[in-house]
Amino acid sequence: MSPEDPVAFEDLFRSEWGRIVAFLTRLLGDLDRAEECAQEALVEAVERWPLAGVPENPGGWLMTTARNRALGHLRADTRARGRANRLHDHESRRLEDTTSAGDDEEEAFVESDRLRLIFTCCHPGLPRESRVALTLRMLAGLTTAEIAAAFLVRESTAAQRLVRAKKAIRDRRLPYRVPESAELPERLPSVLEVLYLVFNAGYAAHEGERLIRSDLCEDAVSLATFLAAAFHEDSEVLGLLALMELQAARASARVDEDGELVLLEDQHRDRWDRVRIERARRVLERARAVADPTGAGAYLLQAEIAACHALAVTPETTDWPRIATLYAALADETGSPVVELNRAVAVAMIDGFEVGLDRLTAIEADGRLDDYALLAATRADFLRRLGRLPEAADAYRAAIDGTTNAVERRYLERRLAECAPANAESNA
Amino acid sequence: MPRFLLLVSPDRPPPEAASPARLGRRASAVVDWLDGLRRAKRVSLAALVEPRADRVERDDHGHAARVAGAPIRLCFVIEAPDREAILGIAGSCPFASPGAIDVLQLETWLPPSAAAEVGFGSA
Repeated sequence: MSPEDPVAFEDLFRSEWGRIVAFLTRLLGDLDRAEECAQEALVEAVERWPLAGVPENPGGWLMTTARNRALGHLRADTRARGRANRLHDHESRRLEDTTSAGDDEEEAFVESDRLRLIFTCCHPGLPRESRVALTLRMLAGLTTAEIAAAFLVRESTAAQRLVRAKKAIRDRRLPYRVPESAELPERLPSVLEVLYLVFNAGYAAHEGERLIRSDLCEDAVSLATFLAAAFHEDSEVLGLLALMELQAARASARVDEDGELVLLEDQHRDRWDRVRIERARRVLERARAVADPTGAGAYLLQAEIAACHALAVTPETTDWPRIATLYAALADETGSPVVELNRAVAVAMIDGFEVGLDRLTAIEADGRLDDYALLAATRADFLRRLGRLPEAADAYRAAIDGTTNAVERRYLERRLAECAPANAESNA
Repeated sequence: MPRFLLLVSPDRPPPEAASPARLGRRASAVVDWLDGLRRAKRVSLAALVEPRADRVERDDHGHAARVAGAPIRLCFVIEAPDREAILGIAGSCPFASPGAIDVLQLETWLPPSAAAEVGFGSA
């Protein structure tokens, strides 16, 4: 690593954070202390490296510094002195073992700590919102303000979720370990759900000026990659990773040079990240190979759908019948009205937009998507394509009312202007 | 050109307020800031200071008492044409973002070799 590289420090600190916090959590048995010591090590590096030079192994330096800080804090705490000595002895022995075992095993120690931390942060005994907040804080290092911004809540709310989650882990003595095989069917979905929520918060930012928060997406992909290495026989873990990679591959084409939204059919496909798509394709193949023959899970199905889009050379060559079939399976699996909405789009592309509108009417009658702006936006799109412009304009207005993302709003306003030019100006 | 002593006291951010990404960006900014000064050959001294500072206070009777000193973490001797210029340099120092910097103009500056010649280095 070179100090001349302007992004190297940020990348290094981001990638090392979760590893250090995980290691210190095992050492200290305290999440707050662990992140405090991890941060002290990073601050020390900020102050020391520009003057003294970047060490040969910066990650190892950060880990050792954080560990020494942790032991220093423990020694300073008279009530914990006995524990510190015991831990120090234990750690010294372990580190001696590790040194003699070589770099690969040392890496394995640290990586298993990280896995423990993921499962602890994503424990199903914690509320979903707390699991997400805790994962972003402890494993990705986001601040409370950044977590609040990502999930459209006040900073005090995000802070409360973090405090409650840590308290629940302490009070209920949730174990800091990777679950046994028998527990995995219950525990792994909770981890995948959290990673999926983190990715989606980055991929479809619901508020503000940016459509995509690539830092959140990359955090989620990084954790999913790590998880997939540990659970390479689990088709849902692999499916989620493939799904994220495929979505991330298309992310840069979702906005144009001016930051405006570009729909899938209008995207410049040469801007898609082919290396990423190829990587996802290989993960997907592996997922299919290990999948339950009685039926794929929700993440694998979504990855298959994303692959249909990513592998189509042009919009016209998209395999809509296969996509519709996959959405049908996904609807059976999840019972989600959002899946039904996407299925309606696929059906409309095959059987026509009148049929698509009938599907939307059925979804509207269900009532669960009453406040979902994309339902109105989809209806508006179908009506516009059918040439029913006054009705389309009404639907666009409804969609605009329900949209909080500025980029999506501007897109809908442009469409409204095509349908009802005079009215669009007063609405804009 | 006048020389100034800069005593830098960075604030330690609370863990929930400084992300690794933000600290990484600060590290890059610090490197850039220091490299700029080094390239301009403005830095005579750059030192990291142990964060613990003791201050010895003596009264009229010669009694000494030890108290905690200011939490200085870095010190620099930097050349600048005038006070306004050095205050601009201090104001752009990412080491103390947030934090504080004391700026003092040196009336005399003896590099180590010159200090030894006049007896300062003989002890």
